[in-house]
Amino acid sequence: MKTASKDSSPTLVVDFPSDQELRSAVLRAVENAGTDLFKTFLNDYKQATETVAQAA
Amino acid sequence: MISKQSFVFKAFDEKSFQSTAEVWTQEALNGLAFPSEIEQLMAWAARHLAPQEGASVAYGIFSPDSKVAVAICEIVVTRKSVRSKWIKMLRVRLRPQIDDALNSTSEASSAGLRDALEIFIQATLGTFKLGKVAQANTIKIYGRTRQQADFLRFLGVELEKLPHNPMMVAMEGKFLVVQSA
Repeated sequence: MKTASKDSSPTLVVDFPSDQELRSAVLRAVENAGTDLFKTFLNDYKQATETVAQAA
Repeated sequence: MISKQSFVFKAFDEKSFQSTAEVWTQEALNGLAFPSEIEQLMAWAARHLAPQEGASVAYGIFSPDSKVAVAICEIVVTRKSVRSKWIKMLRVRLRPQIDDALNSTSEASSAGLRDALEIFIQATLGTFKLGKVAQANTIKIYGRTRQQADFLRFLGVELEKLPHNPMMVAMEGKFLVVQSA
């Protein structure tokens, strides 16, 4: 992991893809997974409150 | 269909939360969702509006210039150690109007799908932005069921394919884990 300094409270240098890259990755994932699987991903959360709380 | 415009991921303020709660509750009472479910969601969100490390926070996804959220995201920021901080996206709940359109068998379904897709994109972008702001080196997206995990695997494969890929991507249990290298 990269750090910006070496003191006792190092500042992490966090590097993630750009918004455009993330957007294209999501679009391709939905295209490849199919819309039914994508819908399942969103729909299922409605009944999952208790389990989500455990995941936090 | 709400609109084809892009949405914005941001924290609620008092006014936007009140507006969202009123509209979502009314839509549920109109038969677009179970009122008790929306009541439970809003009661949870009302207690989780302020960002607090280690606790769930409700973020909204909004149309530009609207105080009514089109979705509510549950996000947790967790510091594991001085050099490790996680952002977890635990759920995305659609506004009843969009959820109803998404699951309809009419022409509204394709409009609902477009809105839902843009919402999920904004939820993902917002989660990664929070990671940068909070200097969290790890992003986790939760999938409770096997189908959700299957979808996250597709997303993980696409993230790994990105030309600018400073990350390690893996499924760990029910989470898609993206770690800044």
